[in-house]
Amino acid sequence: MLNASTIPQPSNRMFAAADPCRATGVGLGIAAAAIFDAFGAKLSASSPTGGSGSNFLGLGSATLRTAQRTIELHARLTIELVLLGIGLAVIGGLLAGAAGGLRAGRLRPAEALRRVE
Amino acid sequence: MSAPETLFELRGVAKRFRRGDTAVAAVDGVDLDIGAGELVAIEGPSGSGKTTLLQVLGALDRPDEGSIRFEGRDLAGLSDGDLAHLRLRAFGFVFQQFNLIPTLSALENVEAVLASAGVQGDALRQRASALLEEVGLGRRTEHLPSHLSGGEQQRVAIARALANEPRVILADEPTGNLDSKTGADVIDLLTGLAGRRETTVVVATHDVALAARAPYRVAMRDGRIVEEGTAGDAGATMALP
Repeated sequence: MLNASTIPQPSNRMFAAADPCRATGVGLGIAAAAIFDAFGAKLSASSPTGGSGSNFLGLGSATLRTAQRTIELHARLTIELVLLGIGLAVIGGLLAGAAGGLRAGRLRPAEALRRVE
Repeated sequence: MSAPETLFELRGVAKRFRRGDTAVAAVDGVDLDIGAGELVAIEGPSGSGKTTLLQVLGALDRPDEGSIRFEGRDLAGLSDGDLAHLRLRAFGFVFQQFNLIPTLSALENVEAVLASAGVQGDALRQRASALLEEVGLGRRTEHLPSHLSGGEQQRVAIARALANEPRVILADEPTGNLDSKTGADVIDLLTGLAGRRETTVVVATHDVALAARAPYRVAMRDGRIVEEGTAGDAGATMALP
């Protein structure tokens, strides 16, 4: 009875209500990325790479060596990243909306009314 | 009842629901004729089957037994899509809980059914506004249902029910959530607008006094019609205003 093409276009009021929220979210995201990028973050890890000697636990072994590895993390805002984010959000939204819509559309009308009331 | 044109013709209609192991007959062998342009009240306490009867009348549900003819066509022969089309074009529904879409304004709620019927562009807004004007809500059209009183919400629902110029309005306890004064106003509005359009109205109600005001009254108990007659008959003493 209702299909997507015939649902009335949402009025400007609906977008106006959503706009400040969306703008705040986008602004916060960009700001957070910039701050993260400026200060950076370093991940460092060390792990024993094994030792020599007869002590199988490696304890007390003077020959134990350690490998050090440091990774610098950046959050650079690229157009690809932005498009990927938008794309994933759109796909996720469409799938979730379609799943709920299909389920609701398969309900028999009388059954659907019982759920409303 | 010998109306000039029979709109609904019900013969032996039954509808059962499963409750645990037993099947309960909500409607149990109903024969009923409703003529075009009539105002019919179906009266009965809750659980008497009037809501279920209204739902099978409105093609919201199919009966388990019996036949329903609407304008001579047997509804059993129609597909689900045909029934949806019939509900959109021929029937208008008014519910106890109003059932407006909570995220759409009063105006958009009316536009939604007009748009479903293919009305587009400027005509959409104009017709929706005119309908809301007619039910006395000309200045509150941008409000969400939650910002409207019960009476106002039911007025929006009436505007929506009338939007596609249906042949029948089916109203299930339309005053059930309203105080008696507001309820009386809503009934007067509904019957007035439907009368002017020569739209048939079927109202289900548990309110005996309200049912008695209708020119034709059907009393239901336990899924069966126990009494029916015109306002002149016994049990229906008050005339329509």
